[in-house]
Amino acid sequence: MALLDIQHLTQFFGGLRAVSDFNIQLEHGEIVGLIGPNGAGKTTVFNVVTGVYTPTKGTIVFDGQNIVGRKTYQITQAGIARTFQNIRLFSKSSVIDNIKIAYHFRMPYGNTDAFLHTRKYWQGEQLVDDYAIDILRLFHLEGHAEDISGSLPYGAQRRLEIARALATKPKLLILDEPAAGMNPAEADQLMEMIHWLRDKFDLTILLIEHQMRVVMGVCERIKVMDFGETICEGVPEYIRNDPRVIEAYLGKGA
Amino acid sequence: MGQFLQQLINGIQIGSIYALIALGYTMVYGIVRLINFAHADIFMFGAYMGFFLAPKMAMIFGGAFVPTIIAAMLITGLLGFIMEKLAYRPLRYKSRLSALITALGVSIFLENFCAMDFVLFGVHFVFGPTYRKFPDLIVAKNIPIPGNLGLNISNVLLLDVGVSVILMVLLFWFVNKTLIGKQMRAVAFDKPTASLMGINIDVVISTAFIVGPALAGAGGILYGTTYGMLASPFLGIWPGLKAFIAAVLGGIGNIPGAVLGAYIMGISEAFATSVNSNLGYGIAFAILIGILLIRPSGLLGKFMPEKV
Amino acid sequence: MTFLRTHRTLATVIAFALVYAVIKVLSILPLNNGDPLLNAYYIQLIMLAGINIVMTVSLGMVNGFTGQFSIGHAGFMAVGAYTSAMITTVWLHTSTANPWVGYPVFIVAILAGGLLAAAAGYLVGAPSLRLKGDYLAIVTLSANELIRTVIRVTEVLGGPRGLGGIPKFTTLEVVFVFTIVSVVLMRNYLFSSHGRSMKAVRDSEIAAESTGINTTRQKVFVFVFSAFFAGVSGGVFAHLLQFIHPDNFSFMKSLEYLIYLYVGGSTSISGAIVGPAIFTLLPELMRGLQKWRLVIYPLILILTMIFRTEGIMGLKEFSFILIPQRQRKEVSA
Repeated sequence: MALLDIQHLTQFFGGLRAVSDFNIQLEHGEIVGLIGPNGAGKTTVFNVVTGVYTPTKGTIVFDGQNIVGRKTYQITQAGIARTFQNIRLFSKSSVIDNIKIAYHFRMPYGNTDAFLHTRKYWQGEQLVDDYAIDILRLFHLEGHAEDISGSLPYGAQRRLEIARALATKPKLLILDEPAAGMNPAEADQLMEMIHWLRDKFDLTILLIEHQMRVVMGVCERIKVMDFGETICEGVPEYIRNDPRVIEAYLGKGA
Repeated sequence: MGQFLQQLINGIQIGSIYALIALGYTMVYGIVRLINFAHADIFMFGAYMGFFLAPKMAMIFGGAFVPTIIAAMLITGLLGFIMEKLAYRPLRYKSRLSALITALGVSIFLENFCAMDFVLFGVHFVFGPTYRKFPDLIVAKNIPIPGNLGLNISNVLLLDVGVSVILMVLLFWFVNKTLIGKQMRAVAFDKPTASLMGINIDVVISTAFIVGPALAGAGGILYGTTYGMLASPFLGIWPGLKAFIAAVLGGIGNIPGAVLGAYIMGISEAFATSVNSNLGYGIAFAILIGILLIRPSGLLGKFMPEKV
Repeated sequence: MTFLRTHRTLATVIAFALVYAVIKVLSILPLNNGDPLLNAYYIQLIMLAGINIVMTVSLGMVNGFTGQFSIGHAGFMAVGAYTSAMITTVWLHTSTANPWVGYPVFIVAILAGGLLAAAAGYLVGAPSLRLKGDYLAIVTLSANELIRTVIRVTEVLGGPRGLGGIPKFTTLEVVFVFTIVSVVLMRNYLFSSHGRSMKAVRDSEIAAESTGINTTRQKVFVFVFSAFFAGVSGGVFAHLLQFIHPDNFSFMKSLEYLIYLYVGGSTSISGAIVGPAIFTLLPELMRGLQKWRLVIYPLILILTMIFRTEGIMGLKEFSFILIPQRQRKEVSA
C-alpha cells in the first residue's frame, strides 16, 4: 500500500483554482520531485498535505489514515515533516532548542512538571538534550548548539531546518525548494544528503525544486505541474525530453 | 418615537466627532501599521488650541469659528508632522512593538507637557488642571422642529454634522483624486512595491501624519463647541479610545469603514447611555468584541491570510 | 565562593534573604532624625514594585515569549482584586486581628481571585488567540474596559464608588514570598519544553505547528496562567491599598505594564523585573525635578525605544534566572 495516496485533490482560493484534480501515490522509500513554473500549485499541494489549508475536494490518505481536515500539528505527529521555501527557523532560539522543540510532542512531562521542575522534568530534559545533540552531530551542527539560530550562515540554517524536521521522526519528509539560494557545490552536498537521509532514516521524500540538476539528480520519479494541472509524470529521462514540459517552462515554439 | 429619534440624532452628533478622530487612526494605521496612541492627545491639543486662539481670532477676523478651526487644524497638522519626524521615523524599520510603545510615550508626554504652564508668542498656555470654559464660537440656539415629537435640535448639532461631512468629503476627494492621495493608497496596499514605483514613502507618511491630526484638531474644536468645557489635558483619552475602537470596528486601514464604525459607535452609545451612563461607556467594547469574533478584520476590512 | 557558584539556587536564596534583611533593617533602624531611612511610604513603594514585577513578568509570558499582544492585563488584575476582596471583606469579614484565621482565608481568597481571573482569561483568550497580532490587542483592550464597566455597574462590588475596608494582609514579607514564588514558577515554565514551544510560536507560528506543536493550546494555556498571576497580583494589591476602585484597573493601567515590559526588555525575565522596578521607584528618584518628572518620564521611554529597541536587557538574563547547564560529554566525531 502506498505511504501517501492523494486522490482528486482540488483547491480553490475564492475563484482561483490553484490545484485541480491532483493525484499522486508515494511508495515507501521513494524520492519524488514536484516541479513546474512559478504559480503552478506545487506549494499549495504541500500546504494542503500538511494541513495548512483544507482541500476543497479530494482525499489524502497517509499511512492508512485519512488526514483531510486534520490540523497541521496532528499531521506532523502522524509522521509528515516539512521544510519551507523561505527558511522558517525559531530564529531567536538557540540551535539546539530548535531541535528540542521538535521533540516537544513526545516529551514525557506535563505543565505541572514544567512549573515545578520535578524529577520528571530533569529526566525529560536530559533525554531531549541527548536526543538533540545526537541529531545536531549527524548534521555537523553540534559546534553551534548554543548559538542563536538566526545568526547561522545560510547553508547551516537550511541544514538545521532539515534536521528539525527530521527530529519529529517522520515517515515522510517534504522539502520545499531545499536548494534555493545554494551554489553548485552546496547543491551537490544537498543531493548527497537527501539520499543519505532516505537510506539512514528509512524515509520517503517529496520535494519541490527549481534547480533542474538537483531534481534530475536526486528524484526517482517526477511530476510536472502547470496552472494547477498535472501535465506529465515519469522518470527523469522521460521528463527531460517531454515537449509539454519544455513548453511549460520555455513557452511555445522554444 | 420622539425619544428614539432624539437618541439617534444625539448619536449622529457624537458619531461625527468620533469619525473625525477615527479617520486619523485609520489613515496612519493603513500606511505605517501603527496604532498611534498619541492621536487622542492631538485631538485634545486641537481643543485647547481653540480655547487659546478663539479670542485672538475673533479680534483679528471678526468671526471666530472658521478661522479658529483652520488655525487649530494647521497647528495639529504641524504637531503630527513633527511627532512622526522625531519619534516614529527613527523606529520605522525596527520592531512594530517598539513603535507602539513609543506612541504611548508620546501620548503620555503630550498629556503631561500640556499640564505644565508656559508662555509662547505672548500667549500664556495653561491647559489644566482645572475646567476651562470653551469660548462660544457660535451662539447656541435651538431649532424648532415642527410636529410634537419633542425633538431637541440645536445649531451646534447641525454644525458638528455639517463640518464633519464637509471634511470627510474633502478627505475622500483628497485620497481618491489627488496624486498624493493615490500614492497614499498605493503605499497602504504594498509599501515595497509602491517604493519601487518611485513613490516617495517619506512624503506619503508625513502627509498621513499631517492630514490625520488636522482632522483630529477639527474634531477637538467641535468637541469644545459641543460640550462648552475642557476638563484637562487628559480629556482626549476616552474619546480617542472610542474613535480608535470605531476605526477597528469598521476595519482599520479602511477610510469609509472608520466613518461607518464611528456612527455605529456614536449611535449605540447614545442609546445605551439613555439606559445607564456606565453602560453607555461599556457598550462600545461589547459591540467590538462581538464583531471581531465574527469578522476579525472589521466590517469593511479585508482579511489577509498569511502566505506560507 | 566556589560552593556558592556550584549551588546557585542556594546562593540565590541567600541573596534574596539578604535583600529582605537590608530592607527590613532600614525600615526599622532610626536615623539621626529619629525616622528610619525607609519610612512606611517607601516600604509601600517597594511592595508595589514587587506586585508590578509579577504583573510585568506574567505579561511578558504572553507578549514577550509567546509573541502575542495582550494590552488588557489590568482587567485580570481587577478580577482577582475584586474576587479576593469580596471573599475576605464582604463575605467572611476577616481581619488581621487573628492572623491564624486571617491568613489562611487571605491565601484562599487570592488564589480564588487568581482562578477566576484565569477563567476570565480563558473566556477572552480561547476565541481571540486565533486572531493575529493587533486584533488580539484590541480584544484584550476591550475586555479590560468591559470588565471595568461590569464592576462599575455592579452594586455589590461597590460600583463607581469603589470597595473599601479591605484588611491589610499584604505585608513586606507577603510581597517577598509572593514575588519570588511567582517569578520562580514562571521562570521554571519558560525554561522547559513548554517554554521552548512558547518561543517557537513567537518566532514562527507556522513552523511551530509543522513541528508538531498544538500552537492554539499552547497560546491559550500561557494566556490563562498569565491571567492567573495577574489575578493573584490583584488580590495582593487590594490587600495592600485596602481600597480598590474600578479606575485602578483601567486600560491606562494595562498600558503602564506594557511600558514596564518593553522598556525593561520583553524577551527576558530579567527585563520584566528591571522595568517595573525602575519605573515604580524612578518617580521617587526624580523628586528633585518636581512636576517636570512627568514630562521627563515619557521622554526616557521614547529615547529608550529609539536607542535600545530591545529594551534595557535585550535577550540577556541575570545569571540567577538561568538554569545551570549540564556538561555534555564530548564525543569525538
